[in-house]
Amino acid sequence: MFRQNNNNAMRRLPNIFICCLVLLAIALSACNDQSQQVDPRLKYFVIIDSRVLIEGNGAEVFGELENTSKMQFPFDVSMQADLMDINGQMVGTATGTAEDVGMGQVRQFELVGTVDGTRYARLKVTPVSLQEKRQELGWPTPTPIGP
Amino acid sequence: MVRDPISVQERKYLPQKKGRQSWAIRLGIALLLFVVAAATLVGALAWWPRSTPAARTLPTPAPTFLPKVGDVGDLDDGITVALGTTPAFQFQSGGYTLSGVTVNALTKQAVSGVSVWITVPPVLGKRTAPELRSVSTADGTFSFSHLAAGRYNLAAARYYVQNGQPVYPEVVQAGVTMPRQSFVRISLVPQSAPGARHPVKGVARNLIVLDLSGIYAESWFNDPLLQLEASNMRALAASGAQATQVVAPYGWHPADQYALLSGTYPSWRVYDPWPALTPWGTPDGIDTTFWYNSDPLAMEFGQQSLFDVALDYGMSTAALGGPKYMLSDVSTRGVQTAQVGLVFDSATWLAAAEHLIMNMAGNSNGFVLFTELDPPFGPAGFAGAAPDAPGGAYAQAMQADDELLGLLQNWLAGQGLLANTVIMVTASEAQVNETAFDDYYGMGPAGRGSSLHVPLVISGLGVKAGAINQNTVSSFTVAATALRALCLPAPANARVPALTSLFSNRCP
Repeated sequence: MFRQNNNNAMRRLPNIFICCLVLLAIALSACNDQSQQVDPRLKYFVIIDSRVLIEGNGAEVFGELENTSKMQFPFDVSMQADLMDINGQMVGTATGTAEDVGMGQVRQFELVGTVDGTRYARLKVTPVSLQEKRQELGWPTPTPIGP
Repeated sequence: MVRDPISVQERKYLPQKKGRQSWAIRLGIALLLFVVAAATLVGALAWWPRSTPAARTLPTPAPTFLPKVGDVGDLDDGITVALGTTPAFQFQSGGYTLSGVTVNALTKQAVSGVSVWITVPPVLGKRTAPELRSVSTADGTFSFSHLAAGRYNLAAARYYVQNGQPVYPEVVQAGVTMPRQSFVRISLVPQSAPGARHPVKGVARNLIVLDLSGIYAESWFNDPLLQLEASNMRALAASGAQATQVVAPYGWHPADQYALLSGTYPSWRVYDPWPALTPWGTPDGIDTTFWYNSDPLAMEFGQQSLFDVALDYGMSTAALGGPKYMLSDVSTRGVQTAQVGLVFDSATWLAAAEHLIMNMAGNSNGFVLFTELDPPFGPAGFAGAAPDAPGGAYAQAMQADDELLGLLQNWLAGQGLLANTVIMVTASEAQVNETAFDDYYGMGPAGRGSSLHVPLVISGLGVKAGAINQNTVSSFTVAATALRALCLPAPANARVPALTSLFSNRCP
């Protein structure tokens, strides 16, 4: 009798394992969806100037970014430049970060990537993610930046 | 077949199920051992130190001094004549600190990205001191440390254009005394950018500037042996206007190209004859009177370029350059698309120029394209690099430039763009090819050397056909004259006005 129960438990193990895998996949998928949600604070970061320097297949995108928010702590702003042809098709990308962009501040940025210079026509720079620069872990919170 | 009776007997009495289990256990152990062994092997391979190739010392060629760029002792020979970056009025440590803030004179708000420079007031008969430079931070602050006690002049400007933001023309604050004043507030008056051009009849919409550095002006217009290689250029001069005695200020490509684009001396140099003023070309090892006190590539000089002015008026801007294109603030900051490092090839250059023009042609305010043509000349001292060597590298390079000028004109005409585009041909200087043929045509205008004599030809809507200006003039005039063709103001620091006699139209 006992052996019978043990066998049943052994038979159920793969099912339990599959269920766990399914649950894990669902959880990961949910996390992924969450990460793909656009950070609503990104709208406060405005590209005020951008230009591109092309050398061979390399592209360097320079420009300036302004933090128009009233948030009191600076952010590292990750950005992506889409380099497009005359029809809006992507012919290159460049990425990089503008660091410590505080409230009301303008920061220069430099994004690095690749491009097909023979087709490049337009540039679109977009802030893609933010990292708040607030120090925690027992350290005193930095003094908020004044206006 | 002989069998061991004992083993046969034992096997006979073992239960069959137990035998299967035992087999499974052995298989499991074998698999486990296999997995452990495989993991150990993979781990060992991953952690095993890679054998590094034996370091070999390559023989380092002894540095050989080769005078080039028509000058001796210039910055890019590898023999720097730069002054120290520490000016005479700054200590390495100690001294006083002057701090300050740059603010908008109207709103009193801090202004970031302003170039600020400090120097001692000039004194007649005494050596000048290079300026010390800084750029104001995001909150408008700046500082200069380790200063000696004394009186200083401060200046500040921000000419580069940001979308919708004003420019801040240069202001000077003289007589700042250290250590009495340790904080200064520099108020800059904002100047709104017009943002658009108003079309004026008889004024071109677009401008293309071709920098044909490396070719003597005499080769283009006067050398009878090079007539075939200059046919398009001579035709352009005949149909347009020309200044025949234009002289570059330096004889060193980066500085001369900077002068073309800004109309002034680069702030990263200082004029200081030492140990004595030496006539151009005198073989004493040093024949420059210009010394360099900053990194030319730094973006802190705050001087306005013709690109900045064009952007102010909503024009599109682009630059197409070879490996020698000067990556300074005036040649990149106001340029929306800069394509540089282009190894010269006629088809590639023409395609790139056409592509850039097509990208900008839709802008109703027009466009400015600055492009240098940089065909190869062969190694320094190579016989074919002499201007008059028949079929040599110099003549071929010249012919390549000339053919591209013709092809570009034809293409612009085919696109319907030639009628409202002004083409200007000029150069920074003739020794950019670094051949040994310095001052090939003698001492040129004002005895400055034919290496420094550069072409200036302009053709298109509003240009007075056949006009010739024979006055000796610095190539500082190029920026102002180019912008005059569009009826736009000269760059703020331009030292020489536009050659208005070359134009038939009037600007409002």
